[in-house]
Formats: sequence, C-alpha cells, structure tokens
Amino acid sequence: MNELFDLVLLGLLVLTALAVARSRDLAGAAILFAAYSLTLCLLWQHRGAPDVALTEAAVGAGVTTFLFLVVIARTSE
Amino acid sequence: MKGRLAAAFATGVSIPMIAAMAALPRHGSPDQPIHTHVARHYIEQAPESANLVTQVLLDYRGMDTFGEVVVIFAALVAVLVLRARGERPLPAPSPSPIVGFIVRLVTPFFALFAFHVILTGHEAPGGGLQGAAILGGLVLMNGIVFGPERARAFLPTRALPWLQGAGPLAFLAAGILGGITTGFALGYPAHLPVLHEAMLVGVELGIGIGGAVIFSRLYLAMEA
Repeated sequence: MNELFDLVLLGLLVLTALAVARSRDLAGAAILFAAYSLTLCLLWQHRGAPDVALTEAAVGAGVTTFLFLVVIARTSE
Repeated sequence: MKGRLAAAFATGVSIPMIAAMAALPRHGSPDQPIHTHVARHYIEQAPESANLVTQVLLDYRGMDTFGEVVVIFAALVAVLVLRARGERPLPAPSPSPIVGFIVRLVTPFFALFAFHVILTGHEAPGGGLQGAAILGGLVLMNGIVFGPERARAFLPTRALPWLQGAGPLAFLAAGILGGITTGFALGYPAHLPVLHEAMLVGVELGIGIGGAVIFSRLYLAMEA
C-alpha cells in the first residue's frame, strides 16, 4: 500500500513534468510547475522528510511560482 | 533532429542514474552507511526533544548555514546593483473581487503560520528559510494581486537596510555570543538552557525575517 502510494505520486510527477515541457502557455506552465512541486512535496512527506517537504512547498510551489509569474508578466507586455 | 538529440542525451544520462539508484541499499535498512557512520553520533549527542535536522543545520554545521545565509544576502545585493532604477512602474492591476477577497482573507493566517514555522523550527519540521519563503510568498501574492505598492506597504522603510541583513547579522551575534559563553565561535551553551534557546530562536527569526525581506525586495526590484 505504501509503495503503491509512492508509485502513484511518482507517476503524477512524471505526468506533470511532461505537461510542463509540452505546455505552449508560459503562465500555464508556471502553474503546472507548482503542481509538480506540490506532488514532490507529498512524496518527500511520505518518505519521511518533513523538513524538505515544507521547503519544497514554500520555495518550490510558492515563491518560485510567484517570481515566474512576475517575470512572465514583465516580459510579455 | 534537435529533439532527438535531446531525447538521446536525456536517455543516456538517466540510464546510469536509474542503474545507480537500483544499486542503493534498501530505503530505511539499518546497515547502510548513513545509519552506521556519523548519524549515530549526532542522534546520541543531540539535546532531547530537539528537531535533529535543525540541530545539524544550526549547530554541528552552523558555519555552513552561515555561509548559505550570506550567499542569499549577496544574491539580493547583486540583483539590486544590476537592476537600474527609474523605470516606469506597471499600472496597478484590478483584481477580481473574488481573488481580492480571498487574498485579504488568508493574509493574516498566512502570516501567523509563517511565524509558527519560524519560531518552532528548532523543535519541529520547519525553520527560518521555510518561514521566510512563506512570509515572502505572502508579500509577493499581495503584490501580484493588488500591485507592487501594496507589497511595499508590508516593508518598514526605515528599518529595511538592517532587516535585509538580519540573517547574517543574527548569525554573527549568535557566533559572538557562543564564542563568549563556550569558547567556540557558533558554539551553543548547553549549560545555559535559556540563552541556548534564545540564540536558536534568534537565529531562526533573523533568517526568517531577513529572508522574507530579501524575497520581497527581489520581487520589488523586478516590478518597479
């Protein structure tokens, strides 16, 4: 059961990564990348690394996404 | 052609990596090196009821963490130097009422959680950098939704130069205090529990608030 949950998360990880790479829309790609980070965060938590999980959620899904969105907004005027 | 080259390269890199991972010891098995080498020493020597990860970050490898804090500070300085001033600011966006309401609603809870993560960081998962990212994300979120002026309103103007250096400064203070009380720079006095606790919380607060200010200023440097 535990292993199965990891496998599901890993599968989601690969799917979101492919979706980011294939996305034509930059803002959409940034949001998908946040979803990738959140999936990775769940995986860290489930593997017993809560410190890394919290960092992944705060930095990976939070600040990085906001900075990406700002850069996209500034460069596509 | 380019795509095939990239695919071949990715495959060529990932096959050895996957093979190497398959050769790793089983996850959690007690006889692998990380469980038999220094980890045991850390676990036995750590104070009770402490978060081992933070203990290692702030105590055993405090000098490393000090260096990392200085690197983040240097990144902000570099961006501020590179970024020319006087560009026209973007017009303030007009958020949809729903988005505006939700951001206003979650802002205080967001801030409370960030300080919870910072202040309990030395005993529970979390700590300065995570709290800094949450606080900084809060400022960035408000800036994106309500415009950079709103984000700037979160930062105290006069204390700003000191706050953005809060991480390195707090570490420096802890290093000197540790030097006086234990004879080692960045040593934490185990015989003075109150001071020990205060130093840990002080360093976490410094990293947390300093980091949040740095994240916010990186954003503002891009925005205006």
